[in-house]
This record gives sequence, structure tokens and C-alpha cells, in this order.
Amino acid sequence: MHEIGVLEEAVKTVERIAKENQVDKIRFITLEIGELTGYMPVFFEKYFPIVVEKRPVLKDAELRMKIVKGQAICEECQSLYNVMKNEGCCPNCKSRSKKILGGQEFLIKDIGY
Amino acid sequence: MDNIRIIEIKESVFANNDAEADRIRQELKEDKTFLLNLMSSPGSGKTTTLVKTVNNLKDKLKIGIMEADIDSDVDARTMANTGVEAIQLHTGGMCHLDAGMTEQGLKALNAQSFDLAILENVGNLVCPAEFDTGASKNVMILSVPEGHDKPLKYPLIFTVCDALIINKIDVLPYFDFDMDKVIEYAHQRNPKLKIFPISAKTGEGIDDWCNWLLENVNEWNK
Repeated sequence: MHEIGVLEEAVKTVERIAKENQVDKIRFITLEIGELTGYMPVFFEKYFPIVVEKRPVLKDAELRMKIVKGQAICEECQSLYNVMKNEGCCPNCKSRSKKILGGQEFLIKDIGY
Repeated sequence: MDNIRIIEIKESVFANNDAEADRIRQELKEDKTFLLNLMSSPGSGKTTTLVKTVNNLKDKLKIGIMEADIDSDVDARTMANTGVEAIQLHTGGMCHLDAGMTEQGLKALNAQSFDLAILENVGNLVCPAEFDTGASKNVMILSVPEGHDKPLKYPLIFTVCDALIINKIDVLPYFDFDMDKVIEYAHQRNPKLKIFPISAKTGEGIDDWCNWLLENVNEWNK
């Protein structure tokens, strides 16, 4: 359920950007969501219409989502692996020491109008 | 149909909130007010820990409390019994406070007249960690019955906190809670995290925690 709070935050930022660019009607927004943020895209879809309904600039906008895979490099054996699939453990040496390369982002990628 | 124009943004969703939080922090610094953002799950003993903390520090610092909850004012009334100023903030169903709501609370409390303002955030380990409130320091409480695996399950909150209070150590004999493991997991997330095992009920460990807080408040307000 915490998707609704961060979605409100995203929408507020988009409203500000729309104003700065003198855009009065947004057709779509694209969020870039890292797998490791723990956000569930299905809930963003569900809450989006509720969050935008009272915001004229975004009322008819479509929500697009780009999911970024959670990738890490093992600090012990330098293997590159997917954090989600391997539950945070290196599949090669089982170490949990890792450098996260991607998957923690939560960005407004672009807006279309 | 006319062409769709696209603006590339690549901006963090939290950019607005982060900028607001930085401004609040700057103002607090100028006012010589330290803001502590206290986070935890519901039932971890936040209010009991706060009562002990306030009683320990109220002769040394002027303290004001903001209790954030979805509803009710039981926590604010409990805190007011300690003799310090306490107000209740209602989040209107939201599971966290953001910088804007914190600022409203600081104004309502008249925070600039205090050395230490404490925000008891909504009981939740997820959302409060995502929203910078403008606090000088973030602290979380994890209680023994919740289990030692929480740093693995809720990594972000351990990353954003400066200190971790492990509460209810008086019940350790009754739970499979591994103190060494929780410290190891928490430090994997955040090597700089200060850890204070306490029992708010018996008072064990409260002095160490309060000394750390007092040092940080004095450092901030000097």
C-alpha cells in the first residue's frame, strides 16, 4: 500500500515540471522503477487513476513503467548476478557482499504531452 | 492527431521532498533546534522509549514532541504527562510524514523555542524511510519480538538511520532473537550505524542512548 504515497510524490513532481514547461495536458508519464525498490508495479497501476483524478493536468494521462533489473557484482568473486533471482546471494560463491549496479532507481523518466 | 512531444526528465521522484527537507534542516540549524526523526514498527515501544528519554534529558534540554499517527491522540497525552510540550499530528490516512507535513508540525509546536524536537513518525518500516523529513538525525527502534532478520527484510530504513535502538532486551530469554546476527545484518546495510540495546521498561541501556543523543544535540546546536 505504500505505493500510493510515493505515487502522490511522483505526481506532484510531474505537476511542477508541467508548470515549468507550460504544459497544460499531459498524455503520459514514464516511471523508471528499480526491482530492488520493492515497489509493485501492479499497485501503481491500480492507484494511478485515483491519484490523478483531481489533478487537471494529469487527469487523462497514461502511466508507463520501465522496470530496471536488480544487478550486482559480487565483491568476493566478481560474478555479475541478478539480486532478485538469487535472493541477494552470489550464485557462484554464496557471498552476500556485493556492489549494487542497478535496480534501486525510482525516477520520473519522461513525460509526453 | 498531432505529434506527442516528450520531455526527458530523469529526476528522482523524491527530488521535491528532498529539496524541502534540506531547506528545513538548514532553518533548524540556524534556529539551533535539533530534530530527531524516530521510526519503527507499531508496538516496538517508541512511546515508552520516548518517555524514558525525555525524563532522562528534560533537565538538560528544552524538549518538544510531535506525535504522528493516522488517528487518535493517546500518544500525545502520554507524552504531555512527562511535563514537556507535545502535539499530535494526524496524517490523514498516510503511512508516513513527508517534509511538508513535518514543517507544519514544527510550526504548530513552535519548534524554534526548543533545543530538541522529536518527531515520532508513523509506525511503519517502509514509507517513513523513503521520505526525508528534514531531521538532523534519523533513529529507529527494533524490538526483540520482531526478530533479528529485519535488516534483511527492510534494508532501506537501516540505511537511512544514524542509530538503531534494540528495545525490549528484558525479554531476550523468551525469544529466538540473535543479538550478534542483528548487529551483523544491520552493519552490512550501514557500517556507520550506532547500536543501542535497551529495555525501555527496566531502564537498561537508556543512559548510553541518551548520552549519544545529548552529544549530537549539543554538537548541532553549538
